[in-house]
Amino acid sequence: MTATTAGRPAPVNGRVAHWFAELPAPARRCPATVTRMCASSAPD
Amino acid sequence: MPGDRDADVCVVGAGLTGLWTAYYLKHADPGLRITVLEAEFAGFGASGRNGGWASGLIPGARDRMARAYGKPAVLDWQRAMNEAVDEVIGVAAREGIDAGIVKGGTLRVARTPAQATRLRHKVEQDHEWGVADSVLLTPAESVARIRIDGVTAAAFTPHCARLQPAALVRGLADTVERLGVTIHEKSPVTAIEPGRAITAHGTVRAPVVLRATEGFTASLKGLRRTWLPMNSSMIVTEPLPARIWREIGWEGRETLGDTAHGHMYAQRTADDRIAIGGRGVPYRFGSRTDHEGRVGERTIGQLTRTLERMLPQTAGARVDHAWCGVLAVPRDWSATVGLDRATGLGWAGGYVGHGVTSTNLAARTLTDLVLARDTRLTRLPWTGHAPGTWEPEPFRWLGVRGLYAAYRLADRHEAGGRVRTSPIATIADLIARRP
Repeated sequence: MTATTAGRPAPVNGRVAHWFAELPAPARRCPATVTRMCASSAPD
Repeated sequence: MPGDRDADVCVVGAGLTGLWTAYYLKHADPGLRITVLEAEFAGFGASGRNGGWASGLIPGARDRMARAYGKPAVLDWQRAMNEAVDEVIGVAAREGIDAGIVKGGTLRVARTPAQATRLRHKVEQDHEWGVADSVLLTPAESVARIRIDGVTAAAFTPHCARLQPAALVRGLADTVERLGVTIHEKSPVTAIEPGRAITAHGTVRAPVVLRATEGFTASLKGLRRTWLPMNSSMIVTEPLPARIWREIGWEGRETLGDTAHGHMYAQRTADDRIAIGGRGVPYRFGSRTDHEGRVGERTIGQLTRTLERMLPQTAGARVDHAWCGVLAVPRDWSATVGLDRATGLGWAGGYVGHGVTSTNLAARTLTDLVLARDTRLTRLPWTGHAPGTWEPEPFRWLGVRGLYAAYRLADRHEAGGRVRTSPIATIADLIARRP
């Protein structure tokens, strides 16, 4: 589970905190810059 | 963005403040069009990184607030905070949010004579402030709960629940979306003005715009000195085996804190790890905030040593993860919530690290303010409170760094066995206006 940099515990998969790492991947919520269609299709 | 958008209420920030507010507003008036704008993802800031204490602690300086607004108002604020702990638990249950919540109270321990003196004084103050069920424990009673090394005194209050903060904030985001609230992630707001929130690619127009940006407030135009983004760091161990838990105890899942000046906070997680946090590097020049929550080797070492000194049973346990985040500290260390009816601009925050419960109370207060209801909540002392601004740089950086160096020195001073609080800390508290 742990991503490490030179052996040091580091943020996991860009999820910032351990608390997110143990949850399933979040549903994407589209940015205000694009339409709601992105929710199921566009990358972050 | 394909043109500007309209809403009845625009909330800036999809953390707990913003999401609780959207939740209560939508429940109160299902017809409201509510848009939440979030720079990263729901719960990216302190809401998803904190220690998981849904605590009844007032996010403010009780004495100062009583001098300004009267003791009865502060007593009611405390009652409202205690009730809000159960409200958080109740909403999670009603909405099917599994955040591993256990209301086990808070155990606060002292490990030096000076810490014990402060702890006894704190419990006396609690009784004066209406928290009659805050009780002193003997070291033996404390150790019966959690076998912490070197306890000189302890106190317990039932008004706190342990939870998994990201699960709570993620569940809340899903809940408000189901209710019909629109959340836009990856949509940083660059400025908030009456009637609109501006992003890099477009504007959301709304007669009411609510700022719920806590530790990231300083990045908004004109708000750099409003709240100080204070850093806090955490580590979490690997899941500990049953053999070690038999040695430690901690069956009640109390949240655990101490009374050091550079204090620590901890919880036994739902999957039997220990998560423990403390200040680390407290502040970055110019109110800069981290992005990815990376923590330095030194801070990880400090937190690991704190854990191992307190609970030697954990020696050698692997640290699986470390991170940091920012909380917001107002100049007088008292949170605030409000709405300017003339401009339609509202705000809530400055929870000084006690946000899990405070965000809920703030959100219900904001809801009443937006709907122009005169209620018990809108008369609480933090409503409309103006805490003042922080000093400009470089004084802000020099001051905060200096103060936290003083607190470290004071903790070392007290480790020598003195009974009274180190005068270094007393002076630092006066300068910082820390309660």
